Amino acid sequence: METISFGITAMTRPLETAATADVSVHLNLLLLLGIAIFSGTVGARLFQKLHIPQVVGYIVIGLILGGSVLKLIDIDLVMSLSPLNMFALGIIGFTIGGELKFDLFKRYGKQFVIILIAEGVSTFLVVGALTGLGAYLFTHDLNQSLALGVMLGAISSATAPAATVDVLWEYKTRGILTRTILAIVALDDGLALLLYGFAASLAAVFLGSGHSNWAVNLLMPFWEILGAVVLGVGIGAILAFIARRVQESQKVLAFALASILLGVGLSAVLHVEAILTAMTIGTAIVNLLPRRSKEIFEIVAKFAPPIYVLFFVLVGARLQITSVPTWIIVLAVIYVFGRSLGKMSGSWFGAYISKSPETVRKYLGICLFSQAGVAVGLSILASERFGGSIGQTIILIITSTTFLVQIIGPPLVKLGVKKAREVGMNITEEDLVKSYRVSDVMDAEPAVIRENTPIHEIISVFGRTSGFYYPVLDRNDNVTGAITVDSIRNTFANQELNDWLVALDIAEPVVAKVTPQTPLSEALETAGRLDTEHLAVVSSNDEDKFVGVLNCRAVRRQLSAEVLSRQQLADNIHSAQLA
Amino acid sequence: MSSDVQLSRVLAPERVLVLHTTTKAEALRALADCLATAPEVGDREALCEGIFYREQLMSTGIGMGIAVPHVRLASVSGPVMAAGICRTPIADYESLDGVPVRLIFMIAAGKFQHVEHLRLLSSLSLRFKSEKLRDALIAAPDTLTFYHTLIRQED
Repeated sequence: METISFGITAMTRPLETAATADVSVHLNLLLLLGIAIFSGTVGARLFQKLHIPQVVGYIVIGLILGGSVLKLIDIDLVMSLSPLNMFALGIIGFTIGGELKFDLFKRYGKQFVIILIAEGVSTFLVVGALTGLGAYLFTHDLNQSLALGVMLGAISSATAPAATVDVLWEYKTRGILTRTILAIVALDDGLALLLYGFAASLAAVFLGSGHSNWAVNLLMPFWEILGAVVLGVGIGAILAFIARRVQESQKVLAFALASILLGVGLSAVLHVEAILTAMTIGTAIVNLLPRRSKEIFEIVAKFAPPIYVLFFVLVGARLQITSVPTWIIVLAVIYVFGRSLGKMSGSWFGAYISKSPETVRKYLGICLFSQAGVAVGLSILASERFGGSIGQTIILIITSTTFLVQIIGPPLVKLGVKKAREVGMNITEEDLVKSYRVSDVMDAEPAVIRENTPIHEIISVFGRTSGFYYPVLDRNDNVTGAITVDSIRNTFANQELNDWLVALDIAEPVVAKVTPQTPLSEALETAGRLDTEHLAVVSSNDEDKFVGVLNCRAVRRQLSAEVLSRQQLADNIHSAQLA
Repeated sequence: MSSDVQLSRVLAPERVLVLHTTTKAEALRALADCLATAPEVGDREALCEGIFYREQLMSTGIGMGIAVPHVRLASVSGPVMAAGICRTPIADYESLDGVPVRLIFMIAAGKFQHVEHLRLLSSLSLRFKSEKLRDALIAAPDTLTFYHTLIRQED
């Protein structure tokens, strides 16, 4: 077998950007950001139509815009936007941290930690062994191969929270698998950092370039993790203190974003793990302000989409998939295979040991395939630390495999949560409103009043039934008005009219009609605009034939009940699995 | 709800008619034609149609020789009234008490003026509880006397 040196220049070519610089000169930064966000969103929409998670769409668009195809976004630009990436990762971390409530830890803490260690260590060992062996077969350089193996093993244990969580949000999942995924992806970056620290120390020894101070090598990961936690708790406590005293949502949003930026920025200054800091801020907020935090996370989530889109598009743009040497491709394949095997076997083993439900044992592994920011970040750190060929090899393998696992990872998360029957269980009232039409929730058989009904009979109808709104129909069943409590109240002051007035005389005009096909969101928006709780439903826009009544208050109650019922169903499935 | 509607704001002397018709339909048509001359009424046909449609649901002959045909229409811009003195009592009006109709007060209001409409109907209904006023109106020799008798009442 031909011996290949680690120092081949082909490995570094994809990172060169001179050829692309001319193109990007003509496009200013804001224009590029606009193109990235716009096309990323459009791409995600197209992928959604194909039932592929939107995050894949962002990344593919990034890939097209990036150095691999159109060369609109070059690696220099991506690097220059790294503060923005850190901000996006900060928001993602903050949001994930918000999922970690202490009662969840109390209930599942031990379970999560066992699974986390099992999947992380298993992936580290399997990837480390396989890639180290593979590298040795190609290079016959034992020390270099061992160093590469431990570094790739450590980096492979990280799971991309953003791409994974994006799928969970997109498909509104809820249940024990979802909770375990959230906990593992939130925590395993910490484990990856720890493993990376030890691996880097070990690799330095193999390469004969170890830090003179072993203690520094060993203590750095602890500092990065503990420092991040202390910093996050501190900033989170300050944000909670402020949020208790500030009522306006917009100001709270500003404070929340400022806290994330402060957390990420200070992390860079103090050399602690930025994403972990942001996560800890989120965890601190959700536990210090259990009620108010819901609003804080909601407004941050509303602010975040363009930043997410840009972040993922830039992840795609950073991927360089051209001019990769064959042996690197083989190592990359080994890496992906080993990582998948490690994640699956480790998750299964951890879930088995911790007596987790069957869905966790079966499907957690395939939900942890995504790899992105942290892995790429660690590979960049590795390249800075070791420089030369081994650093470039790590970057190249992580970059190319990131593309692959980012493409296959999100669909596998979708498959896992679907198999675990957790899709659509975390739906909100707003989601239901968007998915329903008027026909789904209208009252199709309400009490009605005919136009010629005398007032004393109308009063009797009010007495017999519990409604507050009665459509008035003509002989052809067309809606000509409505009688409400107010209409009846008006007649109380004029009782002398009761003998000779009929429903038509006291009915209020129908201000807006909807059809069964009208989207519920549109109908509720109309009702809100007209400040009315009821809308008459007619057969079509051209006819006034009565079909039913949309009682907005009752609809809200119905939607709340449905949300609660789905959540209970998700929790019951989990309880049944535990039993 | 207050019933203090000023009739002078909805009735003009030129919209008081002496009717020589003998049937309900003729009387209603004549009064509708008269009411349609008011600037508030935008569509004569719609007015006529609405008045007759309402009569089909239930007679507006409220008893004591009085009828109050009324309608709310999108083509009417504000409450407006016309009045008719029937020199020949109209027997086919199907009043609640079966008494032939001697006085007709036709009212139209805007589609969204259901409160004003009810207030006007109530105001009239309360006034006609006075037998003295009813007799004075029936005995009015001409439309102007009729008008002033009705309007003076509210002073």
